Amino acid sequence: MTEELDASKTGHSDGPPLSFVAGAPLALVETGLIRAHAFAALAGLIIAASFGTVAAIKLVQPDFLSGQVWSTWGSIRANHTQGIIFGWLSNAFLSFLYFAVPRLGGRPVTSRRLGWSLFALWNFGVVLLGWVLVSVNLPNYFWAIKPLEWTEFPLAVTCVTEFCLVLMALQFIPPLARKPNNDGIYVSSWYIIGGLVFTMLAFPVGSLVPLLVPGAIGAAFSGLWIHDAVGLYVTPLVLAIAYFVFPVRTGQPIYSHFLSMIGFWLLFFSYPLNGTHHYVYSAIPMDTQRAAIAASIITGFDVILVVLNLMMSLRGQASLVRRDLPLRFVWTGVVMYLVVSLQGSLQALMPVQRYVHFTDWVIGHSHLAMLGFATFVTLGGVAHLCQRTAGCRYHHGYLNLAYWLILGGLTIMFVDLTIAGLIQGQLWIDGAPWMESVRASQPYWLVRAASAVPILLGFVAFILGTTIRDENRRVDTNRHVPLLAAPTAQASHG
Amino acid sequence: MDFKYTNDFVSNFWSMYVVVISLVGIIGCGVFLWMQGSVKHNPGQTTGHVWDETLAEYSNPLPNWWRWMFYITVVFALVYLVLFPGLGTFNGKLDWTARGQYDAEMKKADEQYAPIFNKFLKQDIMTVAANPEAKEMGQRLFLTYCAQCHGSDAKGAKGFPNLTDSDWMWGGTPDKIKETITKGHDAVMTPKGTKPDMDAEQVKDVVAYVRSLSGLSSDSIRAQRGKELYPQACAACHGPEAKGNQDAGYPNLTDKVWLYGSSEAEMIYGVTNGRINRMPAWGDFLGEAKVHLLTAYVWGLGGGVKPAPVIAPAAAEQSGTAGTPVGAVVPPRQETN
Ligand code: HEC
Ligand code: HEC
Repeated sequence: MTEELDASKTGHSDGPPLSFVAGAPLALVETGLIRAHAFAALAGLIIAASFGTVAAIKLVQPDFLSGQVWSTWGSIRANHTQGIIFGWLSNAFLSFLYFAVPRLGGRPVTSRRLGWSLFALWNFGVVLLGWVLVSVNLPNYFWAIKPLEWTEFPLAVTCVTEFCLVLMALQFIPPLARKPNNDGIYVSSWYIIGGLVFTMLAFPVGSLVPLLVPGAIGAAFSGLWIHDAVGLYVTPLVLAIAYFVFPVRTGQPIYSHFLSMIGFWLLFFSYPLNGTHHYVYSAIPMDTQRAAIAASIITGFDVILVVLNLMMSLRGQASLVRRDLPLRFVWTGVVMYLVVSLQGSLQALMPVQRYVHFTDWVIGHSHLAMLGFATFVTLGGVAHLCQRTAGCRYHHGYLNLAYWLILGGLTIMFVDLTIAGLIQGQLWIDGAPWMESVRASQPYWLVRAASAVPILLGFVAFILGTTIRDENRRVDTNRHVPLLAAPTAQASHG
Repeated sequence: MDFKYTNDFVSNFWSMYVVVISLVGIIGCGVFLWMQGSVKHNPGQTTGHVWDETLAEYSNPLPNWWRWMFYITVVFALVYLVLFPGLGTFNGKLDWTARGQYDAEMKKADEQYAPIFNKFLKQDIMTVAANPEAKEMGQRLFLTYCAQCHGSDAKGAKGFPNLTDSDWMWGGTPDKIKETITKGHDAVMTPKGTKPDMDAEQVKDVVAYVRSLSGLSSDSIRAQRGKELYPQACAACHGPEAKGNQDAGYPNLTDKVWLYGSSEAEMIYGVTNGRINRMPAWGDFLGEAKVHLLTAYVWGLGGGVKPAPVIAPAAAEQSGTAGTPVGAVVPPRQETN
């Protein structure tokens, strides 16, 4: 594997000379698993986004693809949201973890065989099985779609998922938790450890407990997963990527270790209560709703701190942010993190909530979070690890195109849904007939469905940019070798 | 107001659980920050730790503006929980409840709209139906409560009757329509009518006969055989001449208006398996005034039948409605337990 190391030195010429030296850690990296998970992630992204597109089209053309169980709006929506978190984000996180954990911990992940078992179990036992079961929707309780948001995959799949989450903790936490050369634990490692531990605990609380205690109590618990999936799984791992990519791409240290730590602990302190703000004005006790609101405000201020720390780490690097694609992707995601979090804190307040609850405003918000924040940062992470994985180079042109397409599509979708939400909320508060709000939403749903075109094209461009071989590129720009090409390709570029 | 604190969360446990987490979380955040005040920093220098050759962190302190802003959020959270019902069964200093907010808004709406509802409630259906303002209000109500079944144009759908034609299963006079909306109706056709031992061929025969009554294509030999089965199997409900019975909601089979369409297969299916259909009751949910407006709206859609002249229409209308308290327009929502 040693010839790959040189390739990484010659790469990247856009930025300052990188102090990245292919040291010992690289030899510990499981390149095969990085590739496999990256490939699964990108496939998951396209499939899950296509599900979302079909759901969006159905709002405009209800008869589109109608008549089959698998193509009803309900299953399609579940397959979209579950596909995004389990198929796309989780696989991308795993790919990044196989890349980063050995570098952060100075030792290999627990076991390569465990890695491949986890890969198979996750993709076949969780993602594919989940999609199939939701599509056929068997009548049996154990195999049927679960009526719980963000954990709609059937109970059978939930069990496999929880098992996999435990395996993930076993795979990645030991190499991180034992300090490398007495060097302490880097902030990314904190986030990885925290995210994996909390997810392992929060997932059963939010997706099994509601089945045992039905009714409003169960709903309150399911709210914990709806938001903990975002706050204690996606957010920590995405922030781990951001804290990793920023200093590596700029060669400049993080602004403040102290801010990193405060940001980390406050996130885990204030987040767990946040979940129930999904049930403001509902049949759960007012004290729980109010506590969730108070916690949401505190979380907003924590996010300000985290974003401040990340942005200050880029001081003086504006032109690099513009030129360097992984950095630009991650930077954009971090900006959206700030916007979406402040929006979220405001939304939790009752006067705002009564206006936007159940409207498309919320759908705009969730896309700003999952597509704007999580996906942008994660795509940046994938681009970065593509650049730094043996024999791989991303294709600058395609990735730049992907960036603008996805950003454009997301902006259209977000603005469109936000306006639609305000209009719907106003009509409902005015007591207008339901049908009137449906009619008023039509043009906005059309635009939203159309916004899927640039977004999907952007994803395709990203995939091309990391998989297509571009032999003609000049050597002085980033040499491009497909991320997913067979490992033998390395030799010719080494 | 007799609002009681009732919910699924019957034991105190969950309240205490949330109280503890909230207070420990909020105060913990504050204390945690306070304790960090004594940490020493070396601005501009890294912590000395390096990972993977490039990953390092400076040792800069927390900006003071942020620190104070965060203390303010902690104070905000505590004040918030004192003012509003956020700590167990403590109702908050402002005595705010979601129920109270709802009641206040409904009261305001009642005060605003009661005179208008009252005005129409005193008029008879045909007068109200002629009033454009009432028609508009009726349409809004219809679009909100009825359109999902009868369609926004009230023309119905398979299994849901068209309300704009002059064909009524339950009668089209103001009284009858009002009764339908207030009390709802259940329509049941038993499988194979009153002759459950019919075989598939006999069902086809009787369907052929029914089709022949409204001039639909049918096999005349079958229709002849069906005619003999009809009195025993169907007449009890649809009547000896198949003209139906509006008092019990049995549809007229000779009028060329079909709830489930005029295809032979659909009829065979219906007669073989029976039909169960329900128009929900709206009286309790909407209250008399809204039902009155809806009746006028439906009656005025084109198919309304004038009441028989024997009964003085105004008197009949008024007797049932006069003196109804307007508060009943919006029945208080049931307390969930
Ligand atoms: C859940 C669906 C549903 C809703 C909502 C509904 N209806 Fe109906 N309605 C029916 C069905 C089904 C029938 C036919 C019952 C039968 O087969 O006898 C019916 C029958 C009627 C009839 C009698 C038609 C006739 O031919 O005699 C009237 C009038 C009527 N509905 C008015 C209304 C009004 C006004 C509303 C709104 C307040 C409303 N309906 C809401 C399902 C519905
Ligand atoms: C128990 C009473 C009852 C008997 C007996 C009965 N029907 Fe019906 N039938 C009904 C009712 C009620 C409906 C309306 C169902 C609805 O509203 O969905 C109906 C509906 C129908 C319809 C559909 C009307 C339309 O507009 O689409 C047909 C056709 C029909 N009956 C034929 C028959 C025949 C043929 C028989 C004899 C075998 C029969 N019925 C016996 C009660 C009865």
